[in-house]
Amino acid sequence: MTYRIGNWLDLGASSIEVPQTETEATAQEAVDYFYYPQIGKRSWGGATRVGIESRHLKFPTSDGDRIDYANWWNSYGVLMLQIESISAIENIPNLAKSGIDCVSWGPNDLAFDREANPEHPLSASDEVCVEYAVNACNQAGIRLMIRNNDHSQREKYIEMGATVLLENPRN
Amino acid sequence: MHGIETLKSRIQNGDKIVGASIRMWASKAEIEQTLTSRNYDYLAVDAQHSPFNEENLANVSEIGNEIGIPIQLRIKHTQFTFTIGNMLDLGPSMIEVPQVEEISTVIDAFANFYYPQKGKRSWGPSRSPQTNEHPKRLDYAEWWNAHGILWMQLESIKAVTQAKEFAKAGADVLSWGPNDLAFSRESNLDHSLKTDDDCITHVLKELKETSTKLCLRTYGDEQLARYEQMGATMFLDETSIAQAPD
Repeated sequence: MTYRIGNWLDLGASSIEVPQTETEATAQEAVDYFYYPQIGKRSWGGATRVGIESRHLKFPTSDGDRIDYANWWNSYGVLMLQIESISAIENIPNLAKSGIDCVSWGPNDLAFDREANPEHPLSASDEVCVEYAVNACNQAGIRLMIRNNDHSQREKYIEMGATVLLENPRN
Repeated sequence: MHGIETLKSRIQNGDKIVGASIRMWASKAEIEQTLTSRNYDYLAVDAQHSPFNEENLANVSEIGNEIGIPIQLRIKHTQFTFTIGNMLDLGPSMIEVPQVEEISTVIDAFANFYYPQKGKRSWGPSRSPQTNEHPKRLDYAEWWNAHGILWMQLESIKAVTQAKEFAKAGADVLSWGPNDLAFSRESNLDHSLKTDDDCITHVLKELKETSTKLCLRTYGDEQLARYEQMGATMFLDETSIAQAPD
């Protein structure tokens, strides 16, 4: 379904997260449909796209405005791949295609996978996996996003090297 | 009389045909207002760059069929050609497939668009146009196969240069996607088709000996007149929704 990314962006989203990413092919297709040419192949259109009003984009769009908006979007949108298995974590260097901004964490599906592979070194704990992923992300030049849920966990994950967090709002 | 009774033959004859883009969630009053502004031949709704749900499509199609004006739906993606029959069962008379690049997409769309023995659309046209006039299965299938209108949108140099093949494979209308085509031209700077007008002229020439017509999206009467002078006979007026998708 990564081919639908452009359509969802046309409805106004600024960021896309692709769950359970395992393969380079998925990563590349996500990049292709997320970015406008000449980086990707996102199709032009959508009256509710982010930035249309603030950038005063008019219809019909001139070539200059089209290219300007496309370049703006290509530097603005945030594309994340969720990694939820040991093999995905080990595959971070290959998933980190140009255009991928973050890999995000799926601790519960990852726990299932660790339980299915108890002898694997990364099965020791979620923290061991996070540490491995942080190092892989740093080498690949992308960021790790952690679902820390409870804001009290924020410092713990920042200390471990995550720089993007997703948590429940405080009451 | 419902406009779909004559639209396909009028297109094939090269009559001037003008449609208007509307929101899929447009009310009957809004649609009637659009139709009073100009004598449009059809209305078009978009799922590719707009929110889509089946209820909205069924509602807008019901309004169109009550009034007697054909509704065209642009589906989300080439990978959704298998849903064409289902979309048609909700009431539109025409389907546009965006970003067509491969002849296999046209063949697949054709198969899903037409009833046997022409295609493989599944029977169940409860909301489709003119079912009361043709209540028997074989009569309606024959009527549909002669009146439904299948569109393919050309949005790249690769697609433009295959116009004749798409027509041969069963596209009734080839429509234009000028912005994606511009991206494509910008990535193929050495190609002989340098401008939008070069591409239009090429497709019009390729379609000359066929019954397939080119439909251009327009943003005003001046532009429409210019395209008409170039030889185009079909138009889709995007000004009625102001912020037009491509």
